[in-house]
Amino acid sequence: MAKSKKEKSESTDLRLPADIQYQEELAALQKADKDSKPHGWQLSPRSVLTYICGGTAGKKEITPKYIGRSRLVEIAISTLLTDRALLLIGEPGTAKSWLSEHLTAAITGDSTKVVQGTAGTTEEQIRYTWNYAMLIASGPQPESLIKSPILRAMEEGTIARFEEITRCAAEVQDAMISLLSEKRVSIPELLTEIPAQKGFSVIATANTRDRGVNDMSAALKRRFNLVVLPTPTDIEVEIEIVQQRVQELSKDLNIQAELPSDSTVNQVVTIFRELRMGQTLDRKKKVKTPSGVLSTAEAISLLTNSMALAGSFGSGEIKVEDIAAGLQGSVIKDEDKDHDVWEEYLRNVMNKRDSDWKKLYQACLEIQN
Amino acid sequence: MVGRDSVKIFPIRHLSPAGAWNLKQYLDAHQPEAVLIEGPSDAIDLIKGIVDPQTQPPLALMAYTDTHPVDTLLYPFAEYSPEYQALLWGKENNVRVEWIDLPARVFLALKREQKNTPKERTPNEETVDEVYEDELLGDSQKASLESDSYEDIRVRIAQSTSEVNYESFWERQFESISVPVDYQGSAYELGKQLREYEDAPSLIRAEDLVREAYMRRRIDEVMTEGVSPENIVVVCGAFHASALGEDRAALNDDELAQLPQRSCRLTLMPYSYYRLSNLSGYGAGNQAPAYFEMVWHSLQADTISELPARYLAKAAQYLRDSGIFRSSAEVIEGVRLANSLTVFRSKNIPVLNDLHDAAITLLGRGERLPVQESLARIDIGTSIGSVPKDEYLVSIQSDFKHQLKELKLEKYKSLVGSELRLDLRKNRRVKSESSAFLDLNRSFFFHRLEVLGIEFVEKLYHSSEKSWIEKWYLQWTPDAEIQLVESVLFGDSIEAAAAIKLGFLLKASNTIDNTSKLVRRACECHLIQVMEDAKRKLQSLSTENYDFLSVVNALNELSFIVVYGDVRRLDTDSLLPLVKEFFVQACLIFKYATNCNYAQAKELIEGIDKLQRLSLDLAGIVEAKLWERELIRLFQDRDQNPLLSGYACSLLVEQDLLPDETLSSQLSQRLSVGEDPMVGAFWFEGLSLRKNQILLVSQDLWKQLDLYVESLNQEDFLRVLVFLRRAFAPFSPHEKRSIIDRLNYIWEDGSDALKEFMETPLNEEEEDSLDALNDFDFDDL
Repeated sequence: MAKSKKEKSESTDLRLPADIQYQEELAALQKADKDSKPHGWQLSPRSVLTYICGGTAGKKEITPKYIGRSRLVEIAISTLLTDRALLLIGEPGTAKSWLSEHLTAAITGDSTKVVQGTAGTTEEQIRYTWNYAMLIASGPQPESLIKSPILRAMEEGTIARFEEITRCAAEVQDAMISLLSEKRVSIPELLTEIPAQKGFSVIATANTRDRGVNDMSAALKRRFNLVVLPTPTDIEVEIEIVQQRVQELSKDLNIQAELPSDSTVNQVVTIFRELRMGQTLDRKKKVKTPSGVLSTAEAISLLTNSMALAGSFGSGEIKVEDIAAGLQGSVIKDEDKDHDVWEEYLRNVMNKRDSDWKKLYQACLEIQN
Repeated sequence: MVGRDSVKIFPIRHLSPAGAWNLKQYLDAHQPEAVLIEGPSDAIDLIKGIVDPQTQPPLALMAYTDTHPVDTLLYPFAEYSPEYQALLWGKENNVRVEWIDLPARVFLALKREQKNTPKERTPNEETVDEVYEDELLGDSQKASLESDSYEDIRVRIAQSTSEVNYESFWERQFESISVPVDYQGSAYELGKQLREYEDAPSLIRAEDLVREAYMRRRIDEVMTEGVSPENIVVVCGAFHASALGEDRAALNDDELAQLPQRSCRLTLMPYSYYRLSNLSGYGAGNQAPAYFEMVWHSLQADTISELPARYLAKAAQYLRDSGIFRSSAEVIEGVRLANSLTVFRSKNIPVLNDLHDAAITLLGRGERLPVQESLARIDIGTSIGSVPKDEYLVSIQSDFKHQLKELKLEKYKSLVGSELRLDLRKNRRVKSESSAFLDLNRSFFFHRLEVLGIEFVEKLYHSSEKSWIEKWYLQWTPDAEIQLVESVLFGDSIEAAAAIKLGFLLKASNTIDNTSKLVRRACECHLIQVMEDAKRKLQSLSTENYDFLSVVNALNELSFIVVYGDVRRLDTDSLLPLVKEFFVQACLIFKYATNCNYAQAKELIEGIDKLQRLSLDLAGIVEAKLWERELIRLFQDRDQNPLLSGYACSLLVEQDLLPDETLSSQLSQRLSVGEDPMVGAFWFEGLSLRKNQILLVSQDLWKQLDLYVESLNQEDFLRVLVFLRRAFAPFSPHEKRSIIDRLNYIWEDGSDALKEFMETPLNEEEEDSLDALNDFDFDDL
């Protein structure tokens, strides 16, 4: 690869690509790797799994990049082994892009061949385009060809990423069909075609909330193995994620307030989870689900907002009223139904909790009425 | 005794296809003189039934006590059970085959002793125990009963072999022969190591030690009869395999004599794959009997490498049957994925778990839901076995007979029908508990039979208000006998079967109405556990529900139980939270129901009445204030159906919840010129529906009505006349007279002219003109 790798320590980039940020871990894994590597892979499937889910390589500790069911990661890696394209689907904030970046980083050592899907993405961005000045000056020449990241990945036999594929218009998505089934791109202007080398694959991500906006055609779906990433399965995991992110954010944003107490985080995450899953954590009761997403990310922003409120206008300590207002704002989006969902939850679930919950319950009820 | 070490031991896991296959090969190769199998020694006579050509697995060998309390032991066999194949081999080769485990009569007695010591369990669990449950951690029942160390070991084995779970570990290591495996040796080692595991004491139960000592004794016995040890093959669970050697003593005569015994019967019964799988609630067995049968047939046909393709193709086929098209290309990719998933494992053999994930990823497009049913069909299947019927009386038949006797109902089991009246209250004139509640217990029994669809009993409706009286019609038919036998597939006793059947009904029930009825049925059958489940289901359904009437109906059913549960000896306290919730919910969704048209409003009134009554009946339990709040809202909100608004007003007046000035201001608003005259008419109809006395004597009301009628122009008057007339129709002559008095007062007319006019019937002309109004175009009202 002709790419000049930046050294991690010298960089002032705001955000480094995964393969540079974790280059030490990758190197350690490569060194310790004894299993056979598939063609075009720099690590064996097992080592890729270790890189993503954590473990050790020799003496080096490998941090887990994806916290959740490792079986899903296994399925993802196995998919890439069978030269099938992989599509990661999930709610907003379920680490789809994160996982795709780290998978490519571990398998190919280069996570930067990305096409970002938007409503404005064109077919050229998937296949190739021309340097028009050169094209006009000297006609179609290989030198005036600008290859898309996907085309480059085909040539090099590595993995390209396609973010938010469902945001693209249907005809752009369709351009992927011939690419994935023929595994070659023809360039009629040059009377040639570029075949994909062994090891080429695509990891695409799609947001479940985008469904229906630009739904994927069945034909395209058939060319992907679909892996659905769930929201955090375990409350402990979610609390950990929330606490960690709130801490990071408050540091970044320089908020002058105390961090929310453990029980506050616990309560907010519990309410979010219960409303999201439609049942209480002990599975004894069903509750109605509101129309909004109530993602982990939203819980994080709720808590940081409360902190900002407390820091700028309050005593620096988060008050239950702030949390209650935030909760109501998150749960009740625009529909009338949400209002009842929330009231029913308050009266039938929260009301029956122990004394820790009393204050929050009272505060919520006051705002509600 | 010398030589027991030379006996050939073949350790197995029950219900293991590869075990059955390897065992058959082994028997063919060694041609023993005697095959000794882990199974109840007193069931020796049943062997010929098991290998009978008419018998079709899955079947179960069942032992049950003929005295109270009824305990049952089950030894289920599938076609791929090593034991079953060993029995068949014995028959084909004319070799002596024997059971060597503890006799069922001892086993049952031991079980009973165990049950009497530890904490109480629910009656449903108590009736059945499986014997083939413990070996090689193959079972979840034990896991739930014993300490956590059981689950712990399973998890640790799975982790140390980087498998997803223990079942996958077992299947990958043992159930495939595409890579040659020393099944016998590996199973022996695994069993042995489990026994040596640090937590072993909690795994090996006293019962196991007795069983092993007994098995050693039986092996010795066969040897004394002159069969040389090398010519004996012992087939037993791998957990016991290392405990049959010479280093351990056999059970001696004294010890044998000391073992407790309970008289019992043994029979064969048809079994189903459904019950064999974990879904049915019985522990032993495997999660995917139909899949393992597939494995067994592939082993026989030597096509085990085609299994993933066969499995996924079948899944795709089922999906297509259900209308979801999946191409062969996706099946091919599925097989490739299943194979490449094994790259993280020690052997490149896809197991059920890999096949599932491949099916979900490819056929389900990443989601489990679309493929779930297809996978369940392949994994579990619908096979039901059969046994030669006449020879084996089924357990539930005996239970039925026993219950008839207990409840003094034997004389009713006759082809001539008769009626029976039950008084569910406690009979205070008798001494014993069982006779004091004889009728109540009969009622439970009848309701259970009714649930099972056994047409021996039929509930008759009686007009009596007394909720503690029930009338039944009893008649025995041959059909009922068949229905009874068929019910065995639900359970081994009437009670267990009814509980399971109700459980099925509950699963299938997806409306609140239906589920609340099931709560009541479970209550009538006195199946507490089911009632709890039904309750939970009801609660979960209620959250999806926005239909006011069905919530009110459900609430009504529940309040019936709360109010009358006492006579059925039920603890109804547990229902109270649900009643409260339903009440809250009914109040909250009320507002979606009230914005409706005239016809719907009429239907709704029944529900409103019910809820109103319930809010009074259940006062102190529910938050009646919420309902009041809703009524007030309905009364004030101008966007709601005017009929209901008027009705709410009347209810509020009744409860004295409206200050006089609010009432009169509403009256004048509703019946004012600015309001659409039709709305006013509907509102008035709603108001008068309850024929509320307080309103009847309200001077204000009639004054406002008078002003309203005066204010109408000719056309509007004709429009509202029909409705006003209808509003007045339900009043009695007496009430009408009192209304006229009010009007006379308003009009300051002392004469009786009006009264006379009202009481003369309509003449023909008037009748006609009213009829003509019926054809009036009422727009879209």
